[in-house]
Amino acid sequence: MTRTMLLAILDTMLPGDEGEPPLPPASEAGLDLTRLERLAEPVITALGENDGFLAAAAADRVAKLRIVELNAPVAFKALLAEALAGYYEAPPVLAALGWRVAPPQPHGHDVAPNDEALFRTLEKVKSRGQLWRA
Amino acid sequence: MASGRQIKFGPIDVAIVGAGLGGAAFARRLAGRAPRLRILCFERGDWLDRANLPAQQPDWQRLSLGRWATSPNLRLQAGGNGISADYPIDDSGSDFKPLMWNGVGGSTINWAAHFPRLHPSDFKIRTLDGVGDDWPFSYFDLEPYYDLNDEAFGVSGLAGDPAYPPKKSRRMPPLPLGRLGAKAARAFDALGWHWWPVDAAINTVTEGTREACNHCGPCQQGCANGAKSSTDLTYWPRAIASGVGLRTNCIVQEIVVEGGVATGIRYRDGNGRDCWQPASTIVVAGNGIGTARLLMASGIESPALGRNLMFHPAAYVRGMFTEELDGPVGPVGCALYSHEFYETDETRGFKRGIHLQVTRENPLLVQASRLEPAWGAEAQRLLREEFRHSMAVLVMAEDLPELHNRVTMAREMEADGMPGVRVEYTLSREARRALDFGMARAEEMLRAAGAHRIVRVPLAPYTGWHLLGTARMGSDPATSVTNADGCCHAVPNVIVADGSLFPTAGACNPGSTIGALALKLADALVGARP
Ligand SMILES: Cc1cc2nc3c(=O)[nH]c(=O)nc-3n(C[C@H](O)[C@H](O)[C@H](O)COP(=O)(O)OP(=O)(O)OC[C@H]3O[C@@H](n4cnc5c(N)ncnc54)[C@H](O)[C@@H]3O)c2cc1C
Ligand code: SF4
Repeated sequence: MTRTMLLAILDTMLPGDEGEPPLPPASEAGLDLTRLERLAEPVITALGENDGFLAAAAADRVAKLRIVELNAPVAFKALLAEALAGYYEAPPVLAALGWRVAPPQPHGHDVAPNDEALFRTLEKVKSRGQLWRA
Repeated sequence: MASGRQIKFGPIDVAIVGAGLGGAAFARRLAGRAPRLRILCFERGDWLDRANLPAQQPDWQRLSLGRWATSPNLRLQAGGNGISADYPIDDSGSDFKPLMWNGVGGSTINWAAHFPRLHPSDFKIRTLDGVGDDWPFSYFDLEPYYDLNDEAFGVSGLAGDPAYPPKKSRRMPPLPLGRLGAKAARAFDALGWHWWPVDAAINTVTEGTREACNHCGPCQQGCANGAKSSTDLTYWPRAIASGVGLRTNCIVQEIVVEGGVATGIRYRDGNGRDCWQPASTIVVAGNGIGTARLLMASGIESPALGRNLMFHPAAYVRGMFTEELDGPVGPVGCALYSHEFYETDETRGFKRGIHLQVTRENPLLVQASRLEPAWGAEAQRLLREEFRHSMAVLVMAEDLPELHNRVTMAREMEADGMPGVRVEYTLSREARRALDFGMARAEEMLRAAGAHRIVRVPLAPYTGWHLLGTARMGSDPATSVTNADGCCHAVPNVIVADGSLFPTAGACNPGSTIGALALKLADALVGARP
């Protein structure tokens, strides 16, 4: 039951979208659920009525979770932080947002070299003369 | 006092506390000036191991919010990282959260390496604007040391900025502005406002074993390829080669003072042993919080000690663009700044000025974590709109020295054997006005650049990068902790050599001034000139 509830909560927090390419719902992003399960326990307890949550429509699930967010903010925040971390480092999510999966090093990123013409506009700035006071 | 069970070392000439920016610059200069002096530095943390930095790990984003966060409190909450020897700071009474690194290199390990100088006017704001205090010397007295410090750090940038007195040509070409910077530059140009590519202590050209920046992004978690200058890479190798000793994992607990003279330091070494190091001169460079904490724990008294804490209050304005910008590629302290509004213009309704800086974006997870609403379909829609399509402008103001903004000691002892430390800071009305003015200008620029949506962050708590003023210089012992040479009025053979000394802060980053100042103080100790 905990796992089913956890997945339902995660999908309410991070439902995904229909963009191009689509963001997957959290339950399909390949998150490590072990740690999330532990963090979800107090949130599930605060929700109280598992069946009601599972049976509810998406908008009602949001409303129910918002109440938990207000009433059990510490537990809710801890679960949300872990869910966000797992989700936004998951390869399918990075790919959907057009970002690479490999960490920043050793390859770094390409940035276009400076545009000489743009730098020539600095002459205008220079032509204003001394801007500092002494 | 030293006890019988202490490990006792033979006397030395100079003991330096803290191997960060001020401590490293001081050590290197002093060793070069007076090679016969026996100089030892004591650093509470360890050397950085660049092979294991977050930037090479798949979970680097998560690490940057936890064990490698910029806040020592967040790092401690996440279990620490074993290199930065952090101590908890009670920052519940502070509008800004103090950020730092406690290991060799100090906060230059996680700094953004944006490397501006203060303006000449910043050294005499009492004379020019009737607020704050004047520094005990001028920009031009410090200028030769700025040049020396630039040389040690290796600056990329472009000389010729009319917002400053002429500077020597920069050793390396400026960092690329990127799409984001180019767009901002055109907008500043269209508005007729000052803009200039940043001076950065970052290699744009490979120098020796230190590679050129490859724009990886997370500078504030340490630079894996050594492109970013930090004092473990710049001053320390040279200081050590000139004979300075550096003892790591040593927490200095107390400066022992007898009859108004410091006789040495008591420290806890990496094995938890109590050690005694006699020294003729003690130099303290523990940063605006660490220095005040140690001086207070040592019973060194001054009415100004711990007071007048300055952070450089910060706000952000973020613009969303239809076209694609760079996203979270580094370095974060890039790309350009505007000092159009840096000097006082009283028609704006406040004195002193603001620094506008177009910065690069944060990692995806950081962007996702600061959304409002924080979760649900709307959060994901906003993130899609923002990610790789946003431009952030940092608005930084000058906060004036105020007695009630301060560092105090708690009664409880911390695990590091020292009294706990608390920070109290409230944003002043004047600084609020400056930030509001700056946000309006930032928004104007972003609109001119084509932003279709603007998000303002009127006060950004996790921007406590600059810890300044808590052991300020001056001539009056009633209002300052040290004289112009950094010597404590109460105990003259204790010298402060870090950001704590700033009588006022200007409105831009302090690193290059801290380095220059430390070089100047080392010369003063041996009676040398630049
Ligand atoms: C995330 C971040 C980004 C920043 N970005 C910029 C930037 O772009 N540009 C800029 O100019 N500035 C920046 N700064 C600020 C800059 O790094 C600091 O102002 C500067 O490093 C302070 O120098 P310092 O010598 O005062 O202290 P630090 O460099 O912090 O060094 C203090 C050292 O003292 C040690 N220490 C403290 N107490 C003890 C003790 N009791 N015993 C032994 N050792 C002790 C600490 O471990 C530390 O290593 C940034 C700072 C941070 C945290
Ligand atoms: S962006 Fe450049 S300076 Fe920053 S960490 Fe990466 S390589 Fe180093």
